Amino acid sequence: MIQFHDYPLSGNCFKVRFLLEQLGLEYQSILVDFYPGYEHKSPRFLNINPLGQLPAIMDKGQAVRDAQAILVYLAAAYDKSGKWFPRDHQGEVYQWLAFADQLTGSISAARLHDAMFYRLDVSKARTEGIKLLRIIDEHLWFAEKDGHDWLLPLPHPTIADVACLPYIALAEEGGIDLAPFFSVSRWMERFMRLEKFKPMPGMMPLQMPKETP
Amino acid sequence: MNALTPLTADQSYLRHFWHPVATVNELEAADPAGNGPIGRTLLDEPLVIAKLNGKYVAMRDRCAHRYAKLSVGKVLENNRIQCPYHGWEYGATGRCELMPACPSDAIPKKAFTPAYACEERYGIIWVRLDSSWDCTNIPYCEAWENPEFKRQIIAEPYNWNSSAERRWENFTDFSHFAYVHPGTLYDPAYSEPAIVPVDRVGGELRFFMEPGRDMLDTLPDDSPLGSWNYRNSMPFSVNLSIRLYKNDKPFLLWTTSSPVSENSCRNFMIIAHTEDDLPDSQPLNFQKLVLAEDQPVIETQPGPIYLDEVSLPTDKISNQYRKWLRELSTAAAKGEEAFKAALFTDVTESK
Amino acid sequence: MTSYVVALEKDVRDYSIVRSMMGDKPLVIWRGASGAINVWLDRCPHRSVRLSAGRNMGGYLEGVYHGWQFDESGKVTLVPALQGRPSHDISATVYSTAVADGFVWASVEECLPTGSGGEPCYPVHIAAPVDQVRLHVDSSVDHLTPWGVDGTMVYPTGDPAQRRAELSAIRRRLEES
Repeated sequence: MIQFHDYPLSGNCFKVRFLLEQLGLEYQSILVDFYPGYEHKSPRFLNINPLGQLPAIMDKGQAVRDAQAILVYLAAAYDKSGKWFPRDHQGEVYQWLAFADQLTGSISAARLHDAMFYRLDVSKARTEGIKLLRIIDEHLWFAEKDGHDWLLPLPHPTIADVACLPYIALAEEGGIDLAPFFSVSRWMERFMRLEKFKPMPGMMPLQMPKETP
Repeated sequence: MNALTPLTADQSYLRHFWHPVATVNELEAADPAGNGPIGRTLLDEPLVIAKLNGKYVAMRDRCAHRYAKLSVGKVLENNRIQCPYHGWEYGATGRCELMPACPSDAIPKKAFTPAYACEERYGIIWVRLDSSWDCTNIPYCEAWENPEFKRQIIAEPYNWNSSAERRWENFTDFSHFAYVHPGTLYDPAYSEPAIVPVDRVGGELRFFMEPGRDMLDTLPDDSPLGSWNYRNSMPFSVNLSIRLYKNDKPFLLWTTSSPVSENSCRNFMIIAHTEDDLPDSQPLNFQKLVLAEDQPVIETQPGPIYLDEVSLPTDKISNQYRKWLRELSTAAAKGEEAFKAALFTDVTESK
Repeated sequence: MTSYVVALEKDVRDYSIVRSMMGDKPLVIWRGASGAINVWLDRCPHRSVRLSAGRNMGGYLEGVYHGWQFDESGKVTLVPALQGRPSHDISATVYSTAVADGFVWASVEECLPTGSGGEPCYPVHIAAPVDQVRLHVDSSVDHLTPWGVDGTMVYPTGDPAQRRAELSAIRRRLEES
């Protein structure tokens, strides 16, 4: 069974948890006390990921670390439908996975500063986050105009959406107002209406009504 | 225009209360000797916190010379705080005692930084910015008073982009449980809380509440369901003493919000329980989940409370709390006697 | 007196909520079961939580904090803590609204849309005051709505690709100056 080193308040862990559940995979969740325990810097966890970062999984005796890498790994290994990591769109998928990394470096950093007392340049992190939000908002507006609901021009979400969603949905915890980003807000709503979607703490707690009640 | 009227236009009354600024653990994390210094902000005032000669001190975080932050400096072996810029050394009273550039010159009268009343209690460092009336006490906490408790956990403080007033109201608000904490603190089927008597006793807002026992079947085991007894020292403290339904044992949730500024607060939490081998992470993780459910909602509120907000009979606790804050603010503007009377005149509704 | 564009009509979908601003007023915009679009002040009268953090249930908007229900006229029709009774004397702050040429308009007083020149395209937020932005854009094809003190939302019309490039350039110039 897949062992998943998880922290419920981490957006990066949310990505992995979401895909594990979408793929219907059995997994064992091992809670790592990130804050205030700093357990991800403990010798036990450093054996699994020497970078001391969450999330990480152990599958078939092999460790995979980094949220984006785990998404690729799980989709390639277990998604028979091929929807989550579509073969003919790999370039686009990787582009958004890299984009998601930048979201971690900006919006998530601002959130760590506000909520968990990290010392860093928060105004720089916010400015960078807003720049990224503009790029993705514009992309989504034009995608919607062409009749597409997701980051890729496909009738279903992919790991690109999974990778980008959590830190955008948590932006306000880092003091970034999402109000000017209309298309991003609609895309988030669509995501939160997906089957088996469970909000993580920090996202609004109530389930969204389904469009076809 | 619909301009809003704040509940308390004058916030200076808050300077007369003791507020938590840091845990002893935090000071130890910043410096293995546990002497600091660390920088914290209270009511918009930057403070440097340190331990000098075994006693905690809080001073304005600003060297008198070129306004560098003392919290970026260090605590020397001679029990002084040294400014990081030109090495001026400050003693526990806030006076400069050495200017290394001209060690033999007389030290100017203005070479000081204001020091504030500072105490350690419950593993937490407390500061009172204005002690001229000296009439307030560090908030009540039952954790070390009740011998039944076997373990007291001092949690790592957490920050919210919300005011301390809003944080307090959120902690004592019963009618949001069904919406914000479905399945953690409350069963969504119970959204109608009882309206309970509210008393003012010795500067505390006290009330008692018994949530439905049937929820034991639906809520997680970590949910502290029981009879809830509140003794809340004004203005931002909550001592929630619980008699758990599941085993009839006491369980304590204590929290005090520290007003960093109008729109931000730093929150301190102590959990006490009677278990022998419950890992600290278990109750802490449960509280973390609950807090993370509240935070995004509460952060959409503006920091200040406004008189324009509509209140219902079911908001009784919040209404009584607001009334008292307003009275304290007005009384403090009148002076010491009025303030003492507003804080310590008991009003009891319950039998 | 002034009416402002506050959203694109096509962006206000069933069962969803749109946030916007009109000057210093945050707005919640939602389409109810009747098909009409409602534009309200984004502040719950109870404890000032953002209404846009709640849910559009079609027939009513539900507040996130205490589950109050607001009908399409803004009235509070259900308060769970009051055994589900209504509280008709409490209401959201409702603004006068109109839909014209694919735009949603709103005003503090009576809403009177002015004409517009073509197909709405991607709204651009510029972090500069509305008077400054006005000097750089063409008022015959752009609607400007003040967004707080230091921001402006530009609701342009015309060819999306061309307008996007043009407005991005203006935005960079104004924000970096």
